[in-house]
This record gives sequence, C-alpha cells and structure tokens, in this order.
Amino acid sequence: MRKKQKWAYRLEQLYKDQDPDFVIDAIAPLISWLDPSARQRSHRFELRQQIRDDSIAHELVLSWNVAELAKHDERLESDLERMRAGKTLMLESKPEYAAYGLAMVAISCLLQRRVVAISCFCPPDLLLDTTPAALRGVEVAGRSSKGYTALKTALDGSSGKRGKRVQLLERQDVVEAYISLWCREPLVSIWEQVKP
Amino acid sequence: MSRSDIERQRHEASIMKMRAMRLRALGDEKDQWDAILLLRRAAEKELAVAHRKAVSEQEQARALIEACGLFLEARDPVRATEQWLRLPGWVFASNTSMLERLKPLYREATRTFAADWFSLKKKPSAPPAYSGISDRKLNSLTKNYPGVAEFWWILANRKNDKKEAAVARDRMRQLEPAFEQDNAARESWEQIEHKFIRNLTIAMQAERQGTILLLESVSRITTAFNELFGDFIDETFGNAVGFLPQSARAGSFILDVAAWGLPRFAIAEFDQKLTHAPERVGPQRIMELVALLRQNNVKLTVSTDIAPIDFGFESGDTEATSITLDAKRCRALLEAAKIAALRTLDSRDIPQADDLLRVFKLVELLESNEMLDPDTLDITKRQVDYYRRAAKILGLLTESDELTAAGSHIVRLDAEDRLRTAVVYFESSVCGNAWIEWSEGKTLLDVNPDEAFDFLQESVPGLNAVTAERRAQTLVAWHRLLSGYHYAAGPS
Repeated sequence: MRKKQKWAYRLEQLYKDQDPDFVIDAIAPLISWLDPSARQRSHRFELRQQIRDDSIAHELVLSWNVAELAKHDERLESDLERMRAGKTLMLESKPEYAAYGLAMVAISCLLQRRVVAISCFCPPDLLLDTTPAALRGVEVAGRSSKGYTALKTALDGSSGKRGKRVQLLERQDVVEAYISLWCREPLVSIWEQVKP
Repeated sequence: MSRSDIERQRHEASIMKMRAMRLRALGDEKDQWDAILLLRRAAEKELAVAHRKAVSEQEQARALIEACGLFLEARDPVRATEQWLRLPGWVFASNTSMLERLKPLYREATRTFAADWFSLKKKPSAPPAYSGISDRKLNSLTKNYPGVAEFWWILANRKNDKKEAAVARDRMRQLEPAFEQDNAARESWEQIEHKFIRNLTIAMQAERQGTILLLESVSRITTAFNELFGDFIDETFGNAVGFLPQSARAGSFILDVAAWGLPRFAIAEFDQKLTHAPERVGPQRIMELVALLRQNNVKLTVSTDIAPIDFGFESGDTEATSITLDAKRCRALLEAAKIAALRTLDSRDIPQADDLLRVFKLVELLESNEMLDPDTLDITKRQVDYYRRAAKILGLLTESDELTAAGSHIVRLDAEDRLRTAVVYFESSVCGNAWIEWSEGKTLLDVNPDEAFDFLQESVPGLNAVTAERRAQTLVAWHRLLSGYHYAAGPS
C-alpha cells in the first residue's frame, strides 16, 4: 500500500464542487447518518483507493457547519431535527442515501468532476457523462457496520449475489466506471476504478 | 427533442429523485406523499426521454428501466408493469446486468399486486367491478398502492365524509389530472387488467386424419406445456406468470387463456431457446411434452395477441407471437433435447424447499384431502408450489399432484423413519443422483455440502448465481438433515 494522502473537506464546499440542485438533498441524509447525536461535526475516514494490484490509503476528514449549510437549504435544520428524533420510515435506506453525498465528496476530491445525472435502478448511480453507449459514472453503496469486510462483499458479491464490479464490467455501454463504498462503523471507504 | 432537451429532462428527473430520497427519509405523511408525486414526475420525465425517436435503443431501455423502478418506488405497480412489458428482449439476457437491481423489486411488487387484484375479482374472465369493492378494501388498497390514481378515483366517489372524499379527489387529481373526467378514470380502471394480461391461444390439432383428441391427452399436453413455458418465463424474465383459462372451443381443441404478466418477448424467446439452447428450457421436460404430442399425433400451436411496439427504429429483437410444434419440429426438438439432457440437469429437478419436514406435512395434507393452505403450512403461496415440487422430486407425488405409493407409504411412518426413507428417495432422484455422481461418490455421505453451489453452477445451464445460491441452501439443508439418518452411517 502506498503512502497516505490527506484530504480535509468541508461539506459547504460541495455546493461549489457539485451541482447545488443535487447537493441540497444529499446533505441532510449524510449528516444524519454520520452524526445521529449531533455531537461531532468532524469525521475521519480511512479511504482506500484501489489501483490494479496496488492501493493508496487516503485520510479524509469531513467537517461541516450546519448554520453555514443552512444558508443554502432553509429546511436543513428542521429536517435534521426530525431525522434525529427518529421520525424516519426508511431506516434501511439510510446508508444508501448518505453514501450518495459521500460519493460526491470523493468525486470532488479524487476526480475533480461533476455529477450530471442520477440513475437509481440501472448502475452506475451517479453519472458523470450520459453520452449514449459511452456512459461514465460512479456506483455507490453504504453499509452501517463491518467495515472493509462489508464493503468487499458489496464489491465482489457473495451468497449468490453478484458484486458491483462484475455488473459494471459486463455493461458494454459504460466506458468509464468507479465504485465508491462507505461504512459508518468503522469509518472506512473504498474507491475503485473499474473501467477503463 | 434535441440532445440538450434530453439532458435537461434527465437533469430535472435527477433533481426530483434526490428530493424524493430525502423526503422518504422523513416520517411525515405529507413528505411521503410529496415523495410519491416526485417519483412519479421523475418517471414521466424518463419516459419523455424513452419515447423520443432520436434516442438509441440502449438509451431507451435505460430510461424505461429507470421509469419502471420509479413507478415501483411510487407504489404504482400498474404503470411500472406498462414499462416492464415494453423492455426489449436483450435486456433480459443474463450478461447485461441492466436488470440486476430492478428484477427482484418488480417481481415482489407485481406478485403482491396480483394477489390483491385477484381478491377483487368476482368473475375470472372479467375485470373487477369497482362498485363491488368494500370501503375497507379500498382504504387498504390506497394505503398499499398510493401511486395508483384509479384507487383514489373510486375512493373519491365513494366517501360519504366530504373531507375524506376531497382528500382522495385531490390525490387523484395530482396523480392523473385527466381523471377529473369520470369517463377517463373509468376507462383507465377497465384497462388495468389489460396491462397485465395477454391473451394466449393454445390450439391442439390432430396431425393425422381420423385421430380423435381425447380429454386425457389434451389435459396432459396442456399441463406439460404450462409447466415448461411458465418456468421458462420465471427463470428468463424474472416474473411469475399466471395462466387463467377463459374458454375452450370445439373442433380442434382451442383453449383461450389470460396470461397475467406474460412478457412481450416470451414466445419469441421460448421459440429461440427451444431450438438453440434447450438446456435453458429443460431438456427432460421438452422430451416429455414432445413425447405426449407424438404419442397422440397432436400439433400444438400457441399464439398471443401482442402487437409489436413502434419505437421509431429497427429493433434487433424478434417479435414472433406464435410457435408451432408439429411432427417435423418435434423430431428436431427431441434430438436436440436428448443431447442437452445427457450433459445437463433441469432446474425443475432441483428442490427449493428448505424444510424437508414441511414437505412431509404437505404430503400428509394431500393424503387427508385437505387444502394446501399457505397458513396451515406457515409459508407463502409461492412457497407452496416449491414444496409441492419438492414432493414430486422425491417421488412422493405425481405430476398431477396425486400421491404415489411412496407418498402414501411415507405418511404412515413416524418422523425418524420418514427421514430414513427420504434418504433413499433423494439419492435416487435426478438431483440427488447427479450430485452424488458429480462428487464422484456412492452415497449422499460422499457429497460435500459446501460444494452445492458449484455443483449447481456447473450442472444447471442458465441458472443465475442468485437462484443457484438459493437452491444450494436447500441442498445443504437436506444434506444436513438426511446425513443424520443415513443407512450407511451406522449406529450413532
């Protein structure tokens, strides 16, 4: 594994790095997943970037100021309050929704590119380019626990479920693809370039 | 629509999806309703892209998949099905991965909806009359399928409470503004069933002059075809099809069937696989059907009323809507199926009923002429079919669900003796025997259960990994239980 690279990223920056129309709805699920008790506003991820047989260990420190973020999104504070109060129906989808926002952060840091469309049912989830037969994008997943083991399972598949990597490899209309996986307990992440 | 218009539609749809995700994470009923509306609007935008003549077939398929998924998320299986049935045949090929996420969601949603819809029907051949639906049922339907505007329309016209009626009307209007006109809503209600059902005609005709079609041969051929075709669709397209007989005509025997959930390309795909990949259909069962047709000198023709869809470009899909199995075709099919049978195992011969004791329970119920009720067996309706199939695999039931001598015998035994006997039945079944042979062993005790998945992947062509894993679980469960009662294990 190659040497650590450090990234300090403030969520407010995401409004500049990505399409604000997407960012505005990605922030609340992200914060409520990472910070359910609203005590800590800085989170240190170990982000492992897979490059063929090698990997780079990144350290991503993600922080935010809710008051600053609320300037972009007037319902942010009330939504966070409701999410914290446990008034949520889609508990099982929480990691998935939060991972969208985190993947946008990773795209901003590692690719310095912008998401142009969202695809919920046909991978990759976050599209960087929608040119027909030459799609480019990032497939995303979030897991609550079990760290790299859980992320590897999502990547490689198990128990008869095919992994995300093989699904992207099989898609002839996808010419450039990455996978961005996130776990909350412990705070670890995998970033892998699948294609080209 | 120019390229930039397409990108704009897609961008707007993406914003709606993100907002809907956020709202769905909140518990408020209003947020949930707003999420449903957004998901629906996003689906409509995807459809606007799909229906443009300028888009490629691949881009169109992606937009239809997305629209179908969004309608499902918006709890509207009716409009989701419309899109599902428009998908081109190639997206169902196992190596395109395009339906990996959608298929299980669609399967589950439409299975549940079909059960609810059938519970509304008074006559099998007619759509349910909305006037006959109870208030209680309507409330349950709008709760389970809040995205289906037709249910809100009925509720709006039904409620005595003005406030409740206004809410229902408002929701109906938000989903389908055209439903303000009762005629439009009524017509749409009457069309729901047509979205799910394709008319299938199964015609049997004597190949030789002077041959009389007997009820026995007609019913056996119908059963054999129903099982072969139904399982093929389930495996290939990922959704179960219900074949509902509507009427029969004299002369050559013609059976009209309403096929609930029949995919658009089912017959074309079935026809193609029968000839070029019989292992994907099931060689043993092809041989059974062909044998029945030949013994009875019957020509079988199956056709649907599916009209080709004009997408505005040349599609690579074939859209054959009928298939004929005459004497010449049967000869060719038999040859191909025989070769395939020598090297493969039919997925129908692999059990998918984990609890062997429950298989015995099912046989017991049949023996005492009791209904196979999912509640009595503590399983779902679909699982009842799996357990019935498992009993057939063990030789306890005939293909027409009657107890065999082995079935009657096992009912008389106590629990332990049943398992001792089942060891032999499983070892001598097509699946058990193949597993032992694959493991190069003599009995079940020589089989390594950890290799069940590998055995299935190598022996059953076309079985996808998810299905293989599910079936492997059953094999492992049976192996674990039966090993403890094996005749060669000696006293414990």
